[in-house]
Amino acid sequence: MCPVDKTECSLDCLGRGQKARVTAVGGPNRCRLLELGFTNGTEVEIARRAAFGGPLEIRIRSYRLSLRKDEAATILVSLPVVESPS
Amino acid sequence: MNRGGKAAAPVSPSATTVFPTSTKRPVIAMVGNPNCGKTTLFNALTGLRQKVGNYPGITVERKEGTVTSESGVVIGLIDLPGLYSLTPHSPDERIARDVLLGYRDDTARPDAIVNVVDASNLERNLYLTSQLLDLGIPVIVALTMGDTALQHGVRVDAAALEKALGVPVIPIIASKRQGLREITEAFTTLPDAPPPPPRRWELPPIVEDEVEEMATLLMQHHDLPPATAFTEATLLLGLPESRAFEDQVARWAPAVQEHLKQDLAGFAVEGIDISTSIAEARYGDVGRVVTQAMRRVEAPPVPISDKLDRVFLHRIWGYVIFLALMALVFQTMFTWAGIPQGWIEAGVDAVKNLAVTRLPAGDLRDLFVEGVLGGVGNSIVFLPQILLLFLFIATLEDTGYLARAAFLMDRLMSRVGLHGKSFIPLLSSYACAIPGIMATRTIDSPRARLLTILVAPLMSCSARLPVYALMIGAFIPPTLVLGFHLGRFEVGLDMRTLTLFSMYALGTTMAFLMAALFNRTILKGEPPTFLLEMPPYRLPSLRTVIYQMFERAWLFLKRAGTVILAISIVLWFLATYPKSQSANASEQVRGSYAGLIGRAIEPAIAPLGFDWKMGIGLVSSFAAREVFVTAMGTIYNVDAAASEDEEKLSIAIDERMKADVDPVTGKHTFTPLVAIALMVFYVLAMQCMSTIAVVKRETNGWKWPLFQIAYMTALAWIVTFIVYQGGKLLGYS
Repeated sequence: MCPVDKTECSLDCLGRGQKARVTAVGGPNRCRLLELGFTNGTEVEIARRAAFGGPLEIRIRSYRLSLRKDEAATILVSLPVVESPS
Repeated sequence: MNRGGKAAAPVSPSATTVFPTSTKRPVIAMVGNPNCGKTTLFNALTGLRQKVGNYPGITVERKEGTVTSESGVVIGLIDLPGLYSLTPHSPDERIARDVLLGYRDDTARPDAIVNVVDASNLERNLYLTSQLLDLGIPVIVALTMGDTALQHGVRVDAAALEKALGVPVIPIIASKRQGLREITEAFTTLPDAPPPPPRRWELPPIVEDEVEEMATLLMQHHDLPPATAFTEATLLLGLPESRAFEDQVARWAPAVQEHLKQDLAGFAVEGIDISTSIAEARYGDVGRVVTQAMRRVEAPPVPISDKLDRVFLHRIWGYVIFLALMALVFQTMFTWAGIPQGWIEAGVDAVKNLAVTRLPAGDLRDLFVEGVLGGVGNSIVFLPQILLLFLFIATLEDTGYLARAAFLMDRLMSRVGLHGKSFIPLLSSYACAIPGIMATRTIDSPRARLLTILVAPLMSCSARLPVYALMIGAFIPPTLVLGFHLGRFEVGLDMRTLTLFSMYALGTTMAFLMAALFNRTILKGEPPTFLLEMPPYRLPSLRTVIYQMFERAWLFLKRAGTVILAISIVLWFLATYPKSQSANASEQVRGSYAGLIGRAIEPAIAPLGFDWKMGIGLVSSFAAREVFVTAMGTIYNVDAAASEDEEKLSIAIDERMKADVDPVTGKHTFTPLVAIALMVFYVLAMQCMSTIAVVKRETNGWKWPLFQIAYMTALAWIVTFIVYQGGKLLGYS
């Protein structure tokens, strides 16, 4: 499900503590997500993932928001081009 | 909930509704994001001078109060629901938009706005502020949560914020009552203050042109003031695609609708996304304000909230703590609430006895004692559970833990379309569905909330216990099923425990199955949403908690109480008339309308193994399930002496039921299989008028409670039929 291309993927692919920047938002809650601050270029960080494939907790614009995995999958992010994870 | 329906009925925005008459008391609307400390501030400002109700035709809470300044000026304060933006995604936001733009007939447009802004979450809070500043009415900002912000290494400079926004900013610490006087004084002059400065945020030129064009069109066709027209134009052009388009635009003139469709189509072709343009433009300007007003300060490297979450949201400890807390809630609701409930019952009985001795005997006395006092007793007995549950929920919500609980439980609940926040309402429904259903207000997704309300009464509540106890005690032998004998003691599960457990399991399983079914059928159209904010942990405010407890209790008494009273009078009438000549209570019930109904429904319940006497029991259970026991006592003519004591009554009925035989076949009417069938029926059927009254209040109409009665009765009938007929086929009797 996660693209091999490591520069862009959907938000639900990120692991705990990973940071990325929003590039596009889709899905039925698109408008709401934009208003909550998921605008282009905004930095997001996965603070935590619930057990059993539950929701993700995301840090954005100095607050914390939880999204279900399928909601997070509608948000595309670009990963910082940094040292490649081993 | 009520999606649009009546609320969306075209309310033509005319000049009279847009501008309130100046002779009336000025009204200020309180607007802010969820969790921004708005409720605490509202309570601190208005004290007990507040009125809670619903907006007509929709389940959005309407709160109003008054504030009196030191100089004696009285100002009306209307607390709008917590919202992230004016874009109408939810009923809450639709109401907020309608009130702020002056579209509602029942609420005059406010003269000014007090915008509550959470300093610890400045950026996102200012998004709403940016929308409010466009409305053309005076705005004042109440800056809360300054202390939380400091813990996160942020200090918001109120003076700088004031300068950047162009409207007054007053820092508030509601719990310490700091800033309350200043804000009250500011309220007195606010309605006459000039509107906020012109907007600073800018749209891309092509979008800007379309917004202007749309605003002009709205002004031409609907006589809207320029600021209102501009806001409406941005909202219309940024409409979320997932919602029914027709519903949203129904109130506007055909020319406006047509133009909007063309615009949206045009933008789609050009690949321009208006929602994105608007959100980015607003956040761009918010960024400017934040840079000017926010100062970084020294703070602990890991905020206390994050430290706490390492434990409370831990993959193992998080669940352990959650389950322990829920066990405490359950214990309180199930066991400890019984103590004050006993007092209430004793009190009601004392009043009944007093009435019996003091009033002249007759129908009027019976009506008062059995109908009125009985009805009142049946409803106020739920108060301890309601108060205790809301003590918990208000505390959990105020501390921020409720969001964590939802985070932990969402995976489990979302499988059937429920919400992480459905867990606590469903758990409390094991004690009683009434506080459980009232607690669904914490669920932000309207779809998940309605689902929770629909299935909550399937959770086996404590009122079913007397029925189980009677049936199990009489017909289920205490045979050891699983386990061993240890000397004189039996270790393991006996048949009785297993039966009782099965009833709870049946109710719970059915609740989840029905939720899954409704989620895939009748509620399919509503998009599921989660979007759960994790507020920082805070110490609960005693004031807020106590307010919420008593507010819920009062709402229950006021709204549900009246329906319950009416139904209990009807039920009393059915059981009392027509009067028979016999002085025998058993004969009286048999000849009454209730008896007639029992006989009338016999063909319908015969396939379930029930006879007409049980039919009377079912009918009378509608007042409250535990009434079944006393009803059976009356029908089986248990002598009055035994009925003094519930335990003796149970044993006496037990004997009678076992002895009862069918006059035609000569077989026993009650068998273990019938007993089980009866219990299954009680698990699944909606036999509680108090629950119906509460569902009616919470869903704002008769549609859903009637649906609930229908589906639960059908479900109870079908499952009981399968159990009884299946049992007979397998050779049980």
